[in-house]
Amino acid sequence: MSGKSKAISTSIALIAIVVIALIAGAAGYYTGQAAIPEAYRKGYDEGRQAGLTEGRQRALQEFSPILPIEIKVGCIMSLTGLLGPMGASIVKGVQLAVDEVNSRGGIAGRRIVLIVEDDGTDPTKGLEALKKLVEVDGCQVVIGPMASGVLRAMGSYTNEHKVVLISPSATAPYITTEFPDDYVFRTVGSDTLQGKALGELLVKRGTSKVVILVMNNPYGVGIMEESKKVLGTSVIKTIVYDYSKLDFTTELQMVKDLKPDGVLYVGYYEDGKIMLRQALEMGLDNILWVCAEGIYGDPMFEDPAAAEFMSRACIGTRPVAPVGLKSYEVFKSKFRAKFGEDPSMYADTAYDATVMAILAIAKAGDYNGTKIREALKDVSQTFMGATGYKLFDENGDQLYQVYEIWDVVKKDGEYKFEAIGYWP
Amino acid sequence: MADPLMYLLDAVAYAGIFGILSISLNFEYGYTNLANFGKVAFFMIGAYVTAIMSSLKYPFIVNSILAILITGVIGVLTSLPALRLKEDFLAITMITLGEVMKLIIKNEEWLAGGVWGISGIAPAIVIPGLTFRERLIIQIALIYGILIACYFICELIVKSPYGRVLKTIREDELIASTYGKNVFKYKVQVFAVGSAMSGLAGGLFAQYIGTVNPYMFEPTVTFAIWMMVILGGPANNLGAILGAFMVEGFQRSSRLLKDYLNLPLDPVNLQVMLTAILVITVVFYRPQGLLKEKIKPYEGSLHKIIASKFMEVKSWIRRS
Repeated sequence: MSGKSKAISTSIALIAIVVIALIAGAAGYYTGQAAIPEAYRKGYDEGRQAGLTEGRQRALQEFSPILPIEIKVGCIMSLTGLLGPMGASIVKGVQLAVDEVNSRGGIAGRRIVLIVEDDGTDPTKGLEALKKLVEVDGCQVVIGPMASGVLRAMGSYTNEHKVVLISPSATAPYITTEFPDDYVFRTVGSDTLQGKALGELLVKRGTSKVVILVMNNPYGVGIMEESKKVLGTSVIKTIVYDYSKLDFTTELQMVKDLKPDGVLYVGYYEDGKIMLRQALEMGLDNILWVCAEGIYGDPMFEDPAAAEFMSRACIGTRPVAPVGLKSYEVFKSKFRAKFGEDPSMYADTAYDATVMAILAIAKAGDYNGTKIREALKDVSQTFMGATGYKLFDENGDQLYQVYEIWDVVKKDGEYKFEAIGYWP
Repeated sequence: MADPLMYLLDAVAYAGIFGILSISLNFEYGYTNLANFGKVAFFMIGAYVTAIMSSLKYPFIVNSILAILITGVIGVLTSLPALRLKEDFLAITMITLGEVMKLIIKNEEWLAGGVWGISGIAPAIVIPGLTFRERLIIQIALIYGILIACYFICELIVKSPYGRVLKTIREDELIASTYGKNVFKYKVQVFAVGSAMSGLAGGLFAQYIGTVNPYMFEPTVTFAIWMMVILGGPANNLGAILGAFMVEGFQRSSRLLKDYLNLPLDPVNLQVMLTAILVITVVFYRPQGLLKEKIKPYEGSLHKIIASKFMEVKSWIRRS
């Protein structure tokens, strides 16, 4: 082919790509009205369309000269990837807080602008999203990310660029202790506490031979390490399994052969369903299974065998707001009024994280990461959120977290989670 | 504070690292027709070797040489059984290799931090007292220096008689063996070079990001590299680099554009859809990629071109 026709065909290919991109965009515009998660970008658009007139802007500037006209709050959540199913609902929690503040006039007349980014549950992508928020949008406060692994990849960047990160759901113990005096905070208890709660629950139930069965990610291994400290010598074996497998008979056979009287189990829904069904098949329901919050939720009951096993053998813990907390009820009703559904796990902590961040900006009176961090520590002293007190220790960890002890009961063929106690 | 140029430069650095990976895949797939779907394994090993050595306080040059050696050796070892398989089986075997390597790293906590990964990896060139932007520019200089070196190495290999054997193997293995060439030996060598190059890219990646953990090395990385090669043009090294820029640019620009375009579709999903449409379009209507392979034999070897340029410069200096 001659040079000229090659150039023509290359340009045709390029034009075709552009045209297809445009058509796809237009098609999406007219068809996808229902598909979009409403929380996405909404805050951003509202902020842009707020129609701040020039006169009003000048007035604001004179009233409080330091704060910018638009106060940006970044948000990085896993909307795709392994944690994708949880992400959209958590963004709603953030959205609720931002809308609430905006409907009351924002901070000193300035609107809060929410910018949501997806990290795909991938540390590399998450870091890229954070760079975008900080370098392009100039965010000084970011809510998220959800996964501990993603948060860890961001740690050194956050500290270098002095940007405050508040995670609503990353529970792995090391995250905040790795850099003691840093810009990373979280509004959920560290697994140091949950590991302790699970360990003490096993001790209280009088088990003396415990097998620890956890998934091989920071969540599972973190709880394993913490609960070992409580259980000490009663741990006869720890099994770390790969949660993407579809068959766990090897692991369960090991458990059976060891003849323990207690199992500490940490898993997610998908692997949990298989694990517990196979445990029922192998007759392991005469042992006490103590589980973390990863398998708490109705999706577990999709598999009748797993549900049956849970009702026979499982109890567990999960982080909750303190019992009968009025502010949680208020949050729940507001969430339901706005989105027409109950808040999922961690939507409440995300709401608290956002409110704290906004309060900290208001208290600092300046949009500057270092000042916001100092203000955030002060805010945490007195803050009472939807999930209770959020007093931070020197690492940026919540000092206090209540865990519910749950059990599964079977009533008229229906399975249900029930609270049977609280820790501490 | 906001500094959009930093984001752009960051994208350039990423594209450089992935450019090295896509050149190495191009070398294996574009020139020799080895469908290596396990690129992420070598990328990961390179990154981890660098991370471990860096935590033992060795300089980057030592780390990267070790990364090259180790990934090269692992490349040879895996290729010995794997290359006896036909194309599609080779692809499946290599995907598995990536997963197996990741599982080993996840479960052997003594080796490389298990699920926690390794953080605090020192950058290759540390000069105290520089701003973020200056540090980034040094990184880019390092990455592009290595990218250009890899490009020329690949170009020289494929333009040589050795490279013509590789292309013969790609077109028809039988012909190559009819001419008395040991096809298997060539394939192993190509595999070793390709793997070593991805290991080097992994090392660059680790020192650039400053932290590694197993969740960074999902199979999607492999597919991204494949996309770069397919879009850019197999058997064209410039095309492979162009592909890296396109994929990286596509991802970044869709992240930026969603703030300004009011699409009622989830922009994350839209990005995935558009990428798929792009790949399908290219494969259907331009299977040779955006930049085609140059079939014409190379006129005048590289040193002749360099020599003539050199003469030009010399005469220019004399005149002035």
